[in-house]
Amino acid sequence: MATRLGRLRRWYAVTIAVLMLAATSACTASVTGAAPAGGEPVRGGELTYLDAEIPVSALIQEQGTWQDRALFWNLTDRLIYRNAQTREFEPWIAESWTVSDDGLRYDFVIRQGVTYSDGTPLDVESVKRNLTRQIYGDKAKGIAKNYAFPDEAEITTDPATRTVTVRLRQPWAPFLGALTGWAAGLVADSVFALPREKQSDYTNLIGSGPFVVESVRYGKAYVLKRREGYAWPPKSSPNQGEAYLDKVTVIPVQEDSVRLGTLRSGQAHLLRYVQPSEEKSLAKDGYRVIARSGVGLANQWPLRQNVWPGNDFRIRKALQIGIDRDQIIKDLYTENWSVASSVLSPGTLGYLDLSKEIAFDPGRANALLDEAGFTGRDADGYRVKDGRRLKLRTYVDVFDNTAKALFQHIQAQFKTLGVQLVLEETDYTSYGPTVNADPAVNFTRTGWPHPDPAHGLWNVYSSKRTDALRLNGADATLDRLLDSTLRAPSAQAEGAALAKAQKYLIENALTIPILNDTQVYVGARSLNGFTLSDGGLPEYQRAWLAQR
Amino acid sequence: MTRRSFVLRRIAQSLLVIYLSYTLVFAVLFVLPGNPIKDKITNPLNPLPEAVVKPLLEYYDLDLPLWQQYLVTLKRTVTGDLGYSLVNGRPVTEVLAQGLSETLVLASIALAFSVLLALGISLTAVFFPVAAVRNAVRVLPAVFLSTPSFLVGFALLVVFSFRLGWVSSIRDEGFVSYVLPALTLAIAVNAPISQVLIQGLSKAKGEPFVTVLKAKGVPAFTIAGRHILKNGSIPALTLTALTVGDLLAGATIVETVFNRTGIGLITEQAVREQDTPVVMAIVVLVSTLFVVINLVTDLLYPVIDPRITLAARRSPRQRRGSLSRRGRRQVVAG
Amino acid sequence: MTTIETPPTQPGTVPDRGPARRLRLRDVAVVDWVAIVVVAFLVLAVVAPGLLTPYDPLRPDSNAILQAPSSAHPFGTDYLGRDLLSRVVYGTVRTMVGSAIAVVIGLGIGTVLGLVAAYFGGIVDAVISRVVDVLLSIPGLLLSMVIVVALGFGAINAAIAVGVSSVAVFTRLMRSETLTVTALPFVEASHHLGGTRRQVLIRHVFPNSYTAVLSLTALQFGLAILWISSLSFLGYGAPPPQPEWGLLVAEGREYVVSAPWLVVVPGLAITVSVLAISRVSQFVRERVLP
Repeated sequence: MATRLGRLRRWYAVTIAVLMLAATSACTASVTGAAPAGGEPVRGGELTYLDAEIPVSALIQEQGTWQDRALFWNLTDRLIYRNAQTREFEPWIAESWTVSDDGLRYDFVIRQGVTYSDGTPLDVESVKRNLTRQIYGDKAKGIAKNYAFPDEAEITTDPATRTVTVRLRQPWAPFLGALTGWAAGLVADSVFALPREKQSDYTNLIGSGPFVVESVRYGKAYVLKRREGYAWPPKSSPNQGEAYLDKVTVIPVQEDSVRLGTLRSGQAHLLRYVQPSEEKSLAKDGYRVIARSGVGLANQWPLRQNVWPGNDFRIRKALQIGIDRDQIIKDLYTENWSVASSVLSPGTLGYLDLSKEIAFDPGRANALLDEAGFTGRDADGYRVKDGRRLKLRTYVDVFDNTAKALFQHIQAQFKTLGVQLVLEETDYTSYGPTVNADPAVNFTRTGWPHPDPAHGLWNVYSSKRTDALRLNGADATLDRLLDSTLRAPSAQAEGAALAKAQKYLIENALTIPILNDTQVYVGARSLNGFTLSDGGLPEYQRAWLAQR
Repeated sequence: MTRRSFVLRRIAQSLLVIYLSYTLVFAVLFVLPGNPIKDKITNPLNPLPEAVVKPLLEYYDLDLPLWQQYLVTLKRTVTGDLGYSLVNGRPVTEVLAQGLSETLVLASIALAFSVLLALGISLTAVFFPVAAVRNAVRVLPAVFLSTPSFLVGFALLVVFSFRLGWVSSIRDEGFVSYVLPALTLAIAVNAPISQVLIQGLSKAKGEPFVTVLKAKGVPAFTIAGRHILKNGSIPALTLTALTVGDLLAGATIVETVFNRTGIGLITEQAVREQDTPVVMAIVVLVSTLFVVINLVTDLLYPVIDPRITLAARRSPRQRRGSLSRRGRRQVVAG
Repeated sequence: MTTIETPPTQPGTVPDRGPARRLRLRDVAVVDWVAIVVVAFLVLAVVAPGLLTPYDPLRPDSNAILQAPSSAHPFGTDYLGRDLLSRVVYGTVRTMVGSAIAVVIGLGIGTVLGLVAAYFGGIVDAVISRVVDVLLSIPGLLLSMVIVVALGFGAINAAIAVGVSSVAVFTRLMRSETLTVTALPFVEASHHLGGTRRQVLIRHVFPNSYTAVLSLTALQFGLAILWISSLSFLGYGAPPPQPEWGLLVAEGREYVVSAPWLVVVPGLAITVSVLAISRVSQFVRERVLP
């Protein structure tokens, strides 16, 4: 075993030495945002991308796994594009659109000349069929609707003016945001005609995107090739024509260390997700570390009101301000990751910076806990009141690779406050039913990127939906605020309503924001022009490889 | 009790085993909380409203009561329709075919490597002239078995793929891609075979017939090969059958490290996600393979060792009256 | 799960214990001494872990995250800055207890089943053998999952799950050993001399068949540790932050490239412990007991 250890470390040292030598003229690694351009784009080349999991199904309005989103994003286009830098809506397949003042009528003018990869035109009729499918699903085939879309709508088309009109009965503020979402990709008619199982298969996916599927070997390699004649990317794309890359091969590699080793040995150009502890040495060795917090909700712990001590404001507030988030970043993450400053992530529509409200204040936290009556301490150092220990219980989040370390770190922090955090574990499939059914659980980690923040918040907190706070309608103010975000007639109104909702959630300490959900990609030095969408998805159309 | 009736009886019992496994696993999967479709409602990552998921449940017959679901799936399975994966919609037959083909090739190569490795170890451990080397090699099977296969596999990968670049860690390059995972598997799995061979060889080494052969001038190698190995091969055969079972049933860690989509990985994922159609199909497959291997091994025993017969096994009470039996020793096959 | 089985002893032989001899210290080989010392350390780690390390295995240290082995931390530190040596030492008891439970269950139930099946033969044997076949047809992970979900998550229940999974292996081995012994003349003779089936079973058949099974137990012990480790990785084992060797290996997997000691040290601990225990048990059986 000693030789194995020695071998690993020797290999490590050799790799660093070689890369250091070769990296004399390398540009500095990019920390956030897009990779800087290193010269003129080169046409050609095959990109090898290592994803962290196996893509599951092309019916992504149901699954929505990261790896499915990444594929779907590059194979299809959407009506509207949200610019990741400016966070503004941009024309894409819809070259312009208008919204009525009461938010009940949307008119989209469809760009001319767009076709699917099978040659069929992407015209108003096709858009209408796509929107109908997103809103209603396909019951007969067992296909679910896209739940970020309104419940019902009347859709009409006018081929003469290339306009699609959507009329709603009630305002639905998330509509435009939903149209920019990863699941809102437009597909050809031939896809609709297939049964459910065939629609799940990527080889049957016909979109208008910059790439088409060449071949799929399930779980092993998904090969995408350039769509010839592609000429309709979003306005802000630096590449207004066909993709530079000939091919993109997506290979799922589930074992973290193998994924990293493969990139470092030069067998691949790009990967998603490394342990935060690896980021520094990769950046030092000249790799491009590209990270983004997708728009949507921040990583947070909503405290259930129906479980003790969730209904005591003082205890909730103490916990909210009793976490040293900067210390967490320093210990477990890197500067690519960021502390949450609200229930929404920065750059999301309506985001309000409430970091002062949740700033680390151990003095005040301890004072609040004393005020709540927990002045005594038991033998293990935890606070007690009338013999009852101040204890919370939760399950370690199964969807986040860093959750175990994160939860244990906070567990230790709570201990210094005198609060016991009991961590339970369960497996992947049981997680959902278990955390929902267990009456003694105080909170479940929630908060992920979402195409529209109003829908995202409403979906999590509304009594009519997931009801993460388990209020059962007890807090009418909160429900009213959430409904008003949903029913806002315009983007400004939505933003204003969201600000109110965020303040309400934070000031009443109903939820404890932790970090902003971040997606990290690492690219080889030869990879240029690579960007991430507003949702943290890879955009291959703009990328090129410096040498073949 | 004739041979034919023995075989028929065993076949009937085997079918019963397969049926029981199927039913048991079906019940278990039903009882466990969570299924991939219902999880879309409770899943905190992306919870869908119940109204949205209802059409899916109906489509997959998951809203039916247990006994109805059981009968429907049983009927379909028997007629050859294995259904579609609940997770990704792929036909289950396709899922299994992909997994099986990869696993079979890998398992065969791994088995060959195991046998070679075991032969090498056992011959060295028993016949090598230097005692220190013999003792050192004797410990090897235990060391191999105790080392987590993740470490072995990853170390091989680091040396041969990352450092030397002889083979790709992610792509399929034909036979070459199977070498490292097969070697890792062989290291993990060869211990029983090695131990048996070492025991058998050391025991046989001391037997009189070996001394006689040596005195006659037969070279040591021939003695080892022709006489000793043949005598020691029955337990080895049992073990090989079991090893094949091990190799087929799950080399999950090896498959994960070397990025292969074999049956082990597919089983693990299907079980973790409670993808019922896939799990049921795997159970039927594994139990069929198992009973077939058992049956074949039982039938092969008398072919190798004429002393063993397929005589019906009677309890000692029944054998009490047979003191006068002469000739062949009746050792029962099992 | 990989299994080991020794073959049924050749028909017609009785295990030979060798001539009884007074054991002299000089006769103990170096390897045996090393094994004894290791086992002594293990016992110490179980009984008085505080003597072996000054650190608290649960306390994170922000200034010492992912440090390589050094004089301050001989085995390095983990992703929260906890000393790895302490975690290994304090994890010994949970690991040993877990594997012991698994092996005891497998051995206990499996031995009885195998003995009964082989000795009584006929329909009893057919039923037990087929039940074992069914057990083996169920994917091991599924079996473990069911048991853990039914009993609750945690290290002990994961150990029970592994134990139940290994019943099949012990049953088959015990059965084939018993079959061999039962066929021997002296067993028939015992019957004729008037022994009841139960007496013959307990006094003659069992003692001669269990030796092979016992010799495997030490190695099965190690396999139990590894199997519990894969369960831990999937979330079925000990909940954080309590240390357990299998869990340490599972957690360390994610850091292999930058911090290989996190995997190598617990992995070595497993390997060395299993070898030492097996060596000592062999030594005791062969040299001390006769």
